[in-house]
Amino acid sequence: MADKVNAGASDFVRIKSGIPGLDQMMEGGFPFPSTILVAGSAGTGKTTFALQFLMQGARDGEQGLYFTTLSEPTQWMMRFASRLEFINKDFLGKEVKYVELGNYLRDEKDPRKLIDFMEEHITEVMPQRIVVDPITVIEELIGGNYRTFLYELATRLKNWQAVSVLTGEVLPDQPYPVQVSYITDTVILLSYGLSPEGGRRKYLEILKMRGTGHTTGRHLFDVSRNGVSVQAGLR
Amino acid sequence: MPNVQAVVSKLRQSLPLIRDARKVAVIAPPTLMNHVSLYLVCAPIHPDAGKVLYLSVDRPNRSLARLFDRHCNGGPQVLFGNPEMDEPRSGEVACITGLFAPKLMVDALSNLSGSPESRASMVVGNLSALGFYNSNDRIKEFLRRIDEKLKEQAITKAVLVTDRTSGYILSLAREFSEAELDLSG
Repeated sequence: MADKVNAGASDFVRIKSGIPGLDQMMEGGFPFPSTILVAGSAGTGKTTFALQFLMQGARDGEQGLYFTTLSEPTQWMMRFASRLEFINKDFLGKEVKYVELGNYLRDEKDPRKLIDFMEEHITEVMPQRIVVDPITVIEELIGGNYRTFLYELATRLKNWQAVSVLTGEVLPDQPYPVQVSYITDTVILLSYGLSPEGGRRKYLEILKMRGTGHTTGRHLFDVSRNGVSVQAGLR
Repeated sequence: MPNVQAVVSKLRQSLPLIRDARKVAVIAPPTLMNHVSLYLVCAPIHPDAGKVLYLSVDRPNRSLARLFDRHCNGGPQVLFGNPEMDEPRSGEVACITGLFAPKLMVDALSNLSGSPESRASMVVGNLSALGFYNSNDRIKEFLRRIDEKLKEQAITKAVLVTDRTSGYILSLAREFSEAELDLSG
């Protein structure tokens, strides 16, 4: 009976993540629209992941918007990023637009004003892909207002027709940024582990993904000048 | 997936095909629903319209109002089915449960158009999204209600924006419309 009544139900639209090996782990891509947390400790490849996601969108004719909260100048980060093979510099400033939140955050601690500022850019650009990298820095800058900020940000992001990737630093005393995980539809964890020989390996794990069947457990991944790639099935 | 510029360009060139039709289906790429809806609300396809009634289905008015303010300068006045967003006369709208009772949304929106003499057309921003929240019967009833409003001349034109994610809803939209514009290819 239920099948008949809902036979016309719409399917999720999915967009490619841009990460080789990842889409096969989650029914073909990220649900559009949705919010994704990519969490990991320093050096695991979060920013590279986010840039690949935006570049994939640009190649697919989509508009991207990159909010960076980094305390270092944007051009400094881009000097390193430009060495990555998948970066097409022609997309920068056009299909992938860049907004620095760092300077704004130094003067403005009101979470609603910060979100209004972000939303002005979203309204202007009308992106299909949004990145906030890293979102967890905002906690240090706005302090006690962080929870309000996250709640408000999640509500607003979900109103836009976009897939939003939020990157989050994992601190030594937590498995992943728990507060951010509550507001997102998907949580992807990038972590280090030891090989049987004692060397360091990197692992990717999909911890949560609403409305999508996904592979579980930790899967080996690599970060190189070609970007992040997952070896699904290798653990 | 077609890019924004290509879709808007095709839409602009195709406007004469849908300008005179009263019932229009526009099939959009699913990632560009915002762009296509926004363009259709602002485009000169509404008959002498001072007003366009916009039904977003599952998007809050606040975000959309910002979009229209930013991108639709000089376009028609846009009314939403939310009393807080509109002029005082929208006090006529007693209850809007939109998402799960879309036919009430049609009534509420057509009431917003004011007097029967006023000319207002309607754009449904994302018909296919109704499939997430409503049974097939409800969606059929929603379209029947729009048809009724057209016959009563409570609205003068209805533009349905949809995508290909639900074959059933797409077929309903096609049955409903006199003119079709496919931007999804």
